[in-house]
Amino acid sequence: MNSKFTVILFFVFNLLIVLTIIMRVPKVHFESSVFSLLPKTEKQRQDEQFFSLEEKFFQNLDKEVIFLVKDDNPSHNEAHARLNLENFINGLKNSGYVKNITAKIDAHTTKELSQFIFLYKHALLNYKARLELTKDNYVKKILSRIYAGFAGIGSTELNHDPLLLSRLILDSIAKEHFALHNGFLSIKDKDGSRYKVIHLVLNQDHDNIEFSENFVSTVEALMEQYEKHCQNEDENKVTPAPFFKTFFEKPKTYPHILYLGAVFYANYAAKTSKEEITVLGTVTLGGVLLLIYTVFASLKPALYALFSIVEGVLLGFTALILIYDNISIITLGLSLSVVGIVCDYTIYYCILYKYRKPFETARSIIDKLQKPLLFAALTDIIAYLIILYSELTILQQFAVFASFTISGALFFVILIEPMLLDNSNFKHTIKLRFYTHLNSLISLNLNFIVSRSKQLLNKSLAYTVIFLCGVLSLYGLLNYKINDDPYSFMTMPENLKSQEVKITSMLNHDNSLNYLYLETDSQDNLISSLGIAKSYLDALIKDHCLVDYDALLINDQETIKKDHVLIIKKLSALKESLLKANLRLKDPHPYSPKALSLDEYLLAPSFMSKSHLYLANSEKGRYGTIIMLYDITNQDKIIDTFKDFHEIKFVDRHKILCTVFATLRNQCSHIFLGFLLALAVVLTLRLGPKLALLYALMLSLACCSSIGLLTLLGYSINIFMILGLILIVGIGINYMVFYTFNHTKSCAILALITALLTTLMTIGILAFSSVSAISVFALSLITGLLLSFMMTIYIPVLVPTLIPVPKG
Amino acid sequence: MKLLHYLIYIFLFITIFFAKLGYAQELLYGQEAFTKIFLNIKTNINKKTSYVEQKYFKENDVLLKSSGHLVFLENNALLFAQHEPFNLTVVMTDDRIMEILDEEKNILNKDNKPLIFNFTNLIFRLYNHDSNLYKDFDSQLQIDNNTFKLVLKPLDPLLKSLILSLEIIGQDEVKSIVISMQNGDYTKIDFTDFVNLSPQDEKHWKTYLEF
Repeated sequence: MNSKFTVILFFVFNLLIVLTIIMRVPKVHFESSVFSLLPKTEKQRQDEQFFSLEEKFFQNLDKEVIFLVKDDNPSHNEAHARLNLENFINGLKNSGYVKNITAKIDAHTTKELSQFIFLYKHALLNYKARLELTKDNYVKKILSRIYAGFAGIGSTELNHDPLLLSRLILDSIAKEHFALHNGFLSIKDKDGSRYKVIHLVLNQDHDNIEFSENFVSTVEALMEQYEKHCQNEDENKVTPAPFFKTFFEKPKTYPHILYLGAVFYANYAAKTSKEEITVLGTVTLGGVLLLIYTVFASLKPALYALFSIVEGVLLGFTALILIYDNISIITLGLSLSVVGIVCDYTIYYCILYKYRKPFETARSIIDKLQKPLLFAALTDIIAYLIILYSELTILQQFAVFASFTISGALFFVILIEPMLLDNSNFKHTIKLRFYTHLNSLISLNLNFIVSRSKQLLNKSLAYTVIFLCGVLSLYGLLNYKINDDPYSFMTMPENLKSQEVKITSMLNHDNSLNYLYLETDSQDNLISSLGIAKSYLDALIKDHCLVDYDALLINDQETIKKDHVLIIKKLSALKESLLKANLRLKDPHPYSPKALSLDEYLLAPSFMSKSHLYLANSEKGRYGTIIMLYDITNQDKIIDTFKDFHEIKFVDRHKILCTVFATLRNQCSHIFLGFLLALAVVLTLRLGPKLALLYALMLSLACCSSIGLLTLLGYSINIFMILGLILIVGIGINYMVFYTFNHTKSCAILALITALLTTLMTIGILAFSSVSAISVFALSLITGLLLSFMMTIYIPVLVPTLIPVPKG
Repeated sequence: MKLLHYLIYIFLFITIFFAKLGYAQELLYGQEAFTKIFLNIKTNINKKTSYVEQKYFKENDVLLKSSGHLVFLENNALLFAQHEPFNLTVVMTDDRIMEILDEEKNILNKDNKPLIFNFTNLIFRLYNHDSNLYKDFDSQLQIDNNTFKLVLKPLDPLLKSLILSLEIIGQDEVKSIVISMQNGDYTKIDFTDFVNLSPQDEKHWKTYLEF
């Protein structure tokens, strides 16, 4: 191909890429959560079509934030403390990020709530109240309150609600651990400290990274200001989180405020991912460039490698944004590892060029090298294309990015680099005295490494390495543990987690997320289904299958009718008892069911309406609600109870996520085995069955040893580790193919070591990532690649007759 | 001159009369009122008093009567044992009120409903000299020849909308309590006969503290 034409084509192609990126990036949404791109099974897709609003509920839930503000020490100046709290609440209110805030429950709200309950007693009677009402001594209890001077029951209440149903409903709604204290809903921790509850709903999704960042920084400033104004000097200091594992800033803890909300997790994840991509990416790139410089004593190969990386990454990123509208930041994090792979091509090429024979040119070298390079790269691309069959979008995106990055870099190496290298002479490029000394030192060391390596390549050492790998593999196969819990893949800061544990324990609820989801085509049907679900749940509570549930309080007509019969029965018994004391009610029929529509119900104060449990898409005619289930002891019975109701489904979200990840892990394991098999077939066609089998066995041994080593270090097998194993095979085959074709050359071992070091430098740094998914992935790659490298260099030692001798 | 003398006598008479009147009647407010009343109301461990309660419902024009004993127990616990018109026991401690009706126990915790608790437990708080009482009530103490009358008006807007005032009248002990409601209802509780508990009684009532 004409060189000029190639260069023009190259520039036009890159121009198109840059234009595509500029146009597409604003339209692409970057996700920060592992869960954001979960796959859907056929059943889930069907469910999703029917239960179309369910995910929206979680989006709404993710917008909620809770602050628990510790009640100040009694010695504090009360007015000062009140003002400080007011400033904090007003700061939140006026931040511009809050849709609504529930902090102080004023007298007006209390009155409004009492009136609402009084008006719609029948529609609001819940199972706890109903249980109390059905008791034999209920009438006697009411009498005791009527007689009691301090019970506060006057003639107005007696004549209009003699059964004290309004009080009964209010008592049954009020959670045991909550109290109305100084106008605030308050809660106590196990040490007896009282906290005021502030609840707010954000006006945007936390998926918007900029929004999360701005909100969290505003909140942090407000919390710091609040703490500053707390008078107790000892507690005045804001405690930064302990410095551990990563060097990035952790969310701070505050002595007087606890906070909980998905937005804090999302912000932390996005912030650390961004910082890690920036810092680790820079360190990786810098490290790789430095390594290349030390080997070649020139910056040019580093520059060529950088060009190939940039070309590859640009192509990979373009492919990614063209195919997907939502891109996971985790994908981008994982994709950093590909930089290490694509670097290898330039390294192999430049090393062969540096140690070329006098008659060889850059073009003639690439002509010889392009066969193994294409062979290795195509093998890798086949591997990634197999990953595309995975249902996990994160994996698919990674596969797309990696395949295109490798392709881009490879074409740059084959088409452009020969033109660049023809004008290079590595031995005489740097003339500065200091560098010359450094160069000789480095080349001495490298010569030493090369000569030493050759001494180490003996059969007894090869057998020892193979034996040790065998032992490690056996250990791994016998002791491996599996972990599919997605929550463990996202390492979250301890202080956020400990605050969540403290708040949920104060709320008296377990951490699991189990619920019933109901969706129907009309509000009336929804209320009917809700009535059915609640009646079954009441029975399940009696059977000790669960402890409690949280649902919309509104009753269906059927329940209202039944309750009314019960109310009339109790009323006549009460009237009889009152008559003995000559007390006649002014209104002999104080109870008549008053209709309450769902819309009217939802207008009640949020404490009462629980509107966060309701969802509607009136345009599509879909109405849904969620019933949160707490402390389940017999899940099977609950599932069995609701299995025949097509509009009601039981969901154990954590279990579902674990099952999804377990399925994906299995899928990835199959991909891994399929990849190994495909490789064996390709290798058999190219190198013959014996060598193909040997390579496949060696790569399997490297992978199993990697599992063994990680098991020994206390890690469990998860989907990301399997993903690492797939890459080990992909990169390992690169080593083997290159070394097989070039092992007779003295520079081959140097090329391999340089390639290995480059990859380790890039992927090794990922092991420091705070996202455990990425660090486990990196660790499996590090161990696997080291072992693959050893297998590669020992194969010609062990079976020299099987290795083909390259021509020329 | 005589007129001047008369005027001086009248002035002196008025001064002495009102000075005497001021000496006999003492008015105290807020925290001072409670400090003073706590000197009069003493905790009587292992004693009991009979009570009669009359509750008037204005809208129905009916007076409901109930009676029983108020028992002072160890650890400053108070126990209302209602005998008429039916048996009901209410045990009050500093952090909860337990109602026992037909062997079923209902407990009201201070943490759950501090407002209702503090009102319902008012007698307990008085006898146990709760220094925070002045924070919940606007108070006026009138002492006249060993007889005191403490008038309390709730400060909380919610209680204020229901309750007009509480009057506690007594000498060395609380003799009666009158709770007046905003709508004209009232409750009057009269206490009589403070006696020591017999060993049997003491043993019997102590069992109610074991919860």
